[in-house]
Amino acid sequence: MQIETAKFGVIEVADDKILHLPYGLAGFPGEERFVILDKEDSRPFCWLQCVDVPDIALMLMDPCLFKPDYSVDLVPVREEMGWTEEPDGDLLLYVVVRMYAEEAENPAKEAALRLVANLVSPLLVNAKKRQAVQVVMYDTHYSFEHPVV
Amino acid sequence: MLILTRKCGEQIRIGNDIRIQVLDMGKGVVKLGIEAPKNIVVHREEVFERVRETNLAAMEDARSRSMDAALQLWRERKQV
Repeated sequence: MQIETAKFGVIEVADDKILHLPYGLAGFPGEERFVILDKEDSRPFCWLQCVDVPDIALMLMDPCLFKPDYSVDLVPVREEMGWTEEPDGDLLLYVVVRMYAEEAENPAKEAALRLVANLVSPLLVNAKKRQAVQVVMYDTHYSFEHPVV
Repeated sequence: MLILTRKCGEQIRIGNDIRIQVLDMGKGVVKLGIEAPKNIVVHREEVFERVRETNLAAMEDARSRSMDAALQLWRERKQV
């Protein structure tokens, strides 16, 4: 199907690539259909694009690329999603990445760009079932703004 | 806002299928047990709010900057 995006214009996406987020995505109530746009020239980053609202797109990446010891207890989430049969390898884990300019102490200096990732609430994707969920961890020592670089 | 007083062990029911029970009360802390259908997400307000804010900020950042800058930062990092 064709979907409209703010970043990439109108793009063609195979129907079987559309992910359903039964619990939605915090901050975007009512939106449940998303697609992951993973292009070779933008790796290691990819995009979580909302199918129905062009402006909703978040940058994602594989957390293991910058935090190899990152670990998430997936047992409760898998139970909740009914993904108890799937081997771990069938599930993909992404984190949402942000890039913003840090307020410079010296206004004359150019603000440095920061690249940070939310390690508290990763996105878990089951490509086979075409579903995804944003996991929320409690009592975690991980940060909402873990430096990527 | 509906305000209720409950004793330890007593429950509150919301609609047909949400039940909240006061399990324990300590100094300034209550322990609540919440039973809700699977499609109802139960979160601690402050954590949920932070996830929401972070997602919204991520969308704003993605809207206002190009991915090229992120790629450049990533490549510079790998060279170090």
